[in-house]
Amino acid sequence: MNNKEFIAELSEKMQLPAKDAQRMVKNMLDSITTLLEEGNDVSINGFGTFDVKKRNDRVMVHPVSGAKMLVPPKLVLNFKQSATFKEQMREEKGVSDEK
Amino acid sequence: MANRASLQDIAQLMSEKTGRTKQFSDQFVRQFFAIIRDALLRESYVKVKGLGTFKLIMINERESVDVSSGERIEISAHHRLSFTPDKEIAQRINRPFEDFETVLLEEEGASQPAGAEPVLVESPAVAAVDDSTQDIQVQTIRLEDAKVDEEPAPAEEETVFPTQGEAEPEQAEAHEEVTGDAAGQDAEMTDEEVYEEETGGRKWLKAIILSIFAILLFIGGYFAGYYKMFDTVLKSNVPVAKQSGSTESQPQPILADSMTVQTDSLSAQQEDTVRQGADETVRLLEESKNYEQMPQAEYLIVGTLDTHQMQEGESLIRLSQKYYGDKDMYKYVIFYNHLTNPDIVHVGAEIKFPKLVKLPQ
Repeated sequence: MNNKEFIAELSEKMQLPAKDAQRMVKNMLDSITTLLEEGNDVSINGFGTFDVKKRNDRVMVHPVSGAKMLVPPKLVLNFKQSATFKEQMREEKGVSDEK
Repeated sequence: MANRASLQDIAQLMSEKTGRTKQFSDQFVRQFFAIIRDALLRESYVKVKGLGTFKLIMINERESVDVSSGERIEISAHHRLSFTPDKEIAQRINRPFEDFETVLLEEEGASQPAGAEPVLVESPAVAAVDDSTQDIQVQTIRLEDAKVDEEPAPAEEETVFPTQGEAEPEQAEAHEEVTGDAAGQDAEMTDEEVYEEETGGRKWLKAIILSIFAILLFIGGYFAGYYKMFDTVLKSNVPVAKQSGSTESQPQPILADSMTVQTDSLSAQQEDTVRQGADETVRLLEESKNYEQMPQAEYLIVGTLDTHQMQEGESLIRLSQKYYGDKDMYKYVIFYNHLTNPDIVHVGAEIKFPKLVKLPQ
């Protein structure tokens, strides 16, 4: 499902024009990002948790030139699926599901 | 950073921003994630612009050993949900660290990286030195010519000396600056750590750190704009080293060519150099008396280098950069032109650029 399909479904469910839905999504993501920036974990019941993790700086060796590079530390957005969602997925998708 | 924000917090923030009711926002957030969840149960891939991509990855069944009992168990095939954040959101999250760049580690000893900025800082100085030494070279060569070649070879030799002398301290300076900045970077890092630990309720701390980054960014951008960062970064490292290398190799062939004159002892030659240097200083001082000099200036004004008609979009600083390789030289231009309001220079105004000579010493 790509963004277009997603917005279409969302606008239908919320009975909003697609344009408004897209704007609301943007707004919502902005709010989530703000919360994350303030150092919170954002957890959505039945779906999962978004949190910010720090990746330490490290020394990397360039595979071709062999030059040593120092990769700076960075903050990354991390998502962890909630247990209930995992369970649900196992039940509904089944083991034999081929994709 | 263990504060937990829930769906309600998102809804709260959202309704503040959009002016919609909290109930509506709440509903919206719920629906948003419900759709993602349902879609993931149906298909294997959901992409949401601004957030990222959720992807299901099939993990095949495999055998493993139970950690506590040691029995062989089978882990059945299952799906793993992977999430890749969008570039947009990833950048925002990483904002506190965004101006760190991957840097090449120097070989042998130099454990701390030389970032782009420290190299940049010294580049105009190097350029200025280059220019001034070139000027002096020109002067000395002329001087020699005028004296009708007592010794043609030493003239070359002599022009080389100041370059070498100046290049070396510059190099040392460069080294200092690099290490100094490395320390600065360390300090920044610790700032980061503090930021991470204390994010709780101390927004002011965050604000301060953010503003420091903003200032750093601004300064970085400013320099990058003026000195065309990547050009000078490349150049400034190479020429300094090259200069001292080439100056060492240059005199050799010349010496060989004019062996007849050159067999004398070195000390005699050096004396000569000193004497001629003094001569030149006197000459420069005399010449400079014809012009009004800037008080406590490093350079002497010894004539007019060029007259330039101001075009739209030009600035004195940028022209100084062009003429002298150093934007700080604009002071001399202002002084030389007796500009009372240097912030406003009209298009079409004739600006004289002084010929500047640094006293050789």
